[in-house]
Amino acid sequence: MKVKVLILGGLILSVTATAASADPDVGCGWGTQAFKGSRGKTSKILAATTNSLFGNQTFGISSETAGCTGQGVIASAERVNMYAGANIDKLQRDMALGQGESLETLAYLMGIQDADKPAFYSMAKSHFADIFPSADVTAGQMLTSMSQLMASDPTLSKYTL
Amino acid sequence: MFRPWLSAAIALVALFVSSFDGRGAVCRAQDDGSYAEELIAAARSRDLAHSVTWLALLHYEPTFWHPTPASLVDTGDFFLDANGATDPQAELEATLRSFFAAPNVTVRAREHPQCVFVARYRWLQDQLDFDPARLPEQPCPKFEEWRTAIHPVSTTLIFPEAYMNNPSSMFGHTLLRFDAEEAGERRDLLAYAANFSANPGDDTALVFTVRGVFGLYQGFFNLQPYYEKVAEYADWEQRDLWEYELNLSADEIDFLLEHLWELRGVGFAYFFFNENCSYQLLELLKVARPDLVYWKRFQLWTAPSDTVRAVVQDTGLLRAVTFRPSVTTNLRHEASLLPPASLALALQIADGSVAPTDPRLDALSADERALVLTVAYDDVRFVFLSRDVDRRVVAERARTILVALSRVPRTAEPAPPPVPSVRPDEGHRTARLSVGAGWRRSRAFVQTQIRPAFHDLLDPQGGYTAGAQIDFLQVALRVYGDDDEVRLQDFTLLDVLSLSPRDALFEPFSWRASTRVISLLAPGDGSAGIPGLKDAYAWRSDGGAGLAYDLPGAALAYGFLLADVDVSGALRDSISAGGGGEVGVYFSAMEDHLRTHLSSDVLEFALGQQHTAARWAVGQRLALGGQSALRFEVAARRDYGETWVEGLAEWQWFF
Repeated sequence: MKVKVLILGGLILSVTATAASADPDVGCGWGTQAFKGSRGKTSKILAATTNSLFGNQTFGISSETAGCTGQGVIASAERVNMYAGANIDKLQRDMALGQGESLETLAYLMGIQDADKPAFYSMAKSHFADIFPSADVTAGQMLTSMSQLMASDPTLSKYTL
Repeated sequence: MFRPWLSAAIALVALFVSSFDGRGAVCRAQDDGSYAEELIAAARSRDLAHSVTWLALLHYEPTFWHPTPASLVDTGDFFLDANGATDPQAELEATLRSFFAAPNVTVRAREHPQCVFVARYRWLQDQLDFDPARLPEQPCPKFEEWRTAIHPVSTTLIFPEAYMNNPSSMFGHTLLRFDAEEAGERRDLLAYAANFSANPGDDTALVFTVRGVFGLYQGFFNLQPYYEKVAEYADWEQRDLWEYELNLSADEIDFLLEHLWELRGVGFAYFFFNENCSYQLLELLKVARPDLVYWKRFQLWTAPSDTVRAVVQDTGLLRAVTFRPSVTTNLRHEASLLPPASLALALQIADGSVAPTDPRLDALSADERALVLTVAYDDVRFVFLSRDVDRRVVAERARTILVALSRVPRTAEPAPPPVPSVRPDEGHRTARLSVGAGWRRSRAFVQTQIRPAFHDLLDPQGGYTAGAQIDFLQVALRVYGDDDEVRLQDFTLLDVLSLSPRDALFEPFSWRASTRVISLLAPGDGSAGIPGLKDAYAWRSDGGAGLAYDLPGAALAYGFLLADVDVSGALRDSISAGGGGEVGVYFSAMEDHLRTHLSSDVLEFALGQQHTAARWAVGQRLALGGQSALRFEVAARRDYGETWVEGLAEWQWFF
């Protein structure tokens, strides 16, 4: 009996450890790059698909994000990743400008207070080339770079762990 | 002697005795069984099964083909009773009984009946005042988690305007957003939007149209973050979005959300014309507001803009309207803020012929430099969204443009594109009746025409997608003064025209396609009043591609190459086919109170019945107050060697 409990406990621990992995290439939306998708693929989106509905009979989101949701809504821990992944083009544009609705929403999701948002926008704009050294930068890499930059910024370091 | 108090006492005792059931008042073996029957009796005495709310929850509607109301739901397990789709009383009883199921019982392979049918449960609980000691309330953690993630404070009806290049989008679309507040502020992009759609998979547009017309698709509701819908409509389809915020109460919104939960995986037959996305969205809203009966008119066809009109204008549900421009509207607006030389530079940077670090940019002010680079980036992105291009090329070019932009000192955000003066719900109503008179050569006639949908390029333009014409099931009947014969002048099955002006930024093609039955002039006995010609019925199909340009003075000029096929017994070999072209211009004056169309076309029919037909026409429409207009048309025509003039004056009413 004791052995069974230990084995079961070990299994549970290992499962949760995997789920809590900090691997930056794992997680919903992390792998998305700028200018993703092509006309052919999006014609399916254009036809207003409901792909997730048929498989697991829940409300669904687009195929890239299925599995990141419970009953069609995003778990709060995944919101930043999902948002960054789905909006990387707009975020890139807003960061180059240093302003915009999409960037403001990202700041909000990252927990930045209103008073610190101007510093966040300035950081993104002045370090744009560092955050996006190539066209293949993924959303996950973007968030990681931003985190590192924030850690060394006097105003923003309080938002990083 | 009759003593009232004695009768009352006897009645009371009788009542008391009769309340005992066969097993005795104290030891009831199945207490929940009889409580269920009590609730059912209470529901029956109030006829809850036929209340508007219960029928709305079950999606009971009469349809054109099925005048007795029955449920529109196709998915069998949405009903707890075998006859639930046609018998609301049976469904109500089965639903009440299901609430008493043991905690581990599930329906629809999901959760307990109280949780799967949470709207029914909450409504019946409210109506019948459930006693929790006798009907235990089951916890619904999945529903609560879902509802907490959505946490709506208001609802907004979203209308993406018409998109001509996809049949399912040609009339527009509607979806319902559950607006959320976080930290006291509205966060619209992060809110969830409910959308009803069919999944045509890989079907081509033609197959989709046929299957969609005959209800051969299943449609479902789904829920997505609004930012995904903005990307889908405003970016990939370049459609402006109108957001109509509604003033539903908190209770009504909660009830809507509860019902949406009930609709997980519930399929409805999708009919392109009537039971389409907008119709089903109205069905959803009806649950919150069953007193809104305006959708009774949507039996034969449902145009999305008409549903917006029904909700917004006729019912007082509108709180505020927001306009969210598409990528092309944004791009066009930004480009208009640049002087021509700078715009040319921006487009060269966009196509890669000039580097974003070009020294010419340094001569510009910071504001202008930022705008040039922004326009260049937006154009690169537009090319990516609208065509099949190699991602690697455009993504890297876009990045280098943005790197240059990031080095321009921060500037003020340019003013957003102006909001169009006429909203989609404020445009002319989609059905049109015309009554008028005219002449052809020397014969006078009266004519009446009815068009159930939708809009042509002479109609008042406000609220409609510019350059998009769809005429649908239009019937014109004509009677000539001299013979009293009623002729079908025109029965248009479908006439679609998309005029998209080309400019420095955008180079779309324009196209047209139509098919109709008409009264055609064919060689004959001269009974048409023109020597050697008679009126005969023919089936005409035509189509073509062309170019359109905006001219100064808000004029739209176009040229088409056309192909035309006429089929008729009166023609040699029963057919006349050929090709030709049309040129024309539309322009409006007095803020579109007056609109004019000049056109000229020539068709050379080379197969079957050979002839050359030419036409020069002037058409004008004068908008009167309200939903009416006057229309005049005069045309000089030449065919089979004969020339004549014809004209028509009509009064038109939109309803």
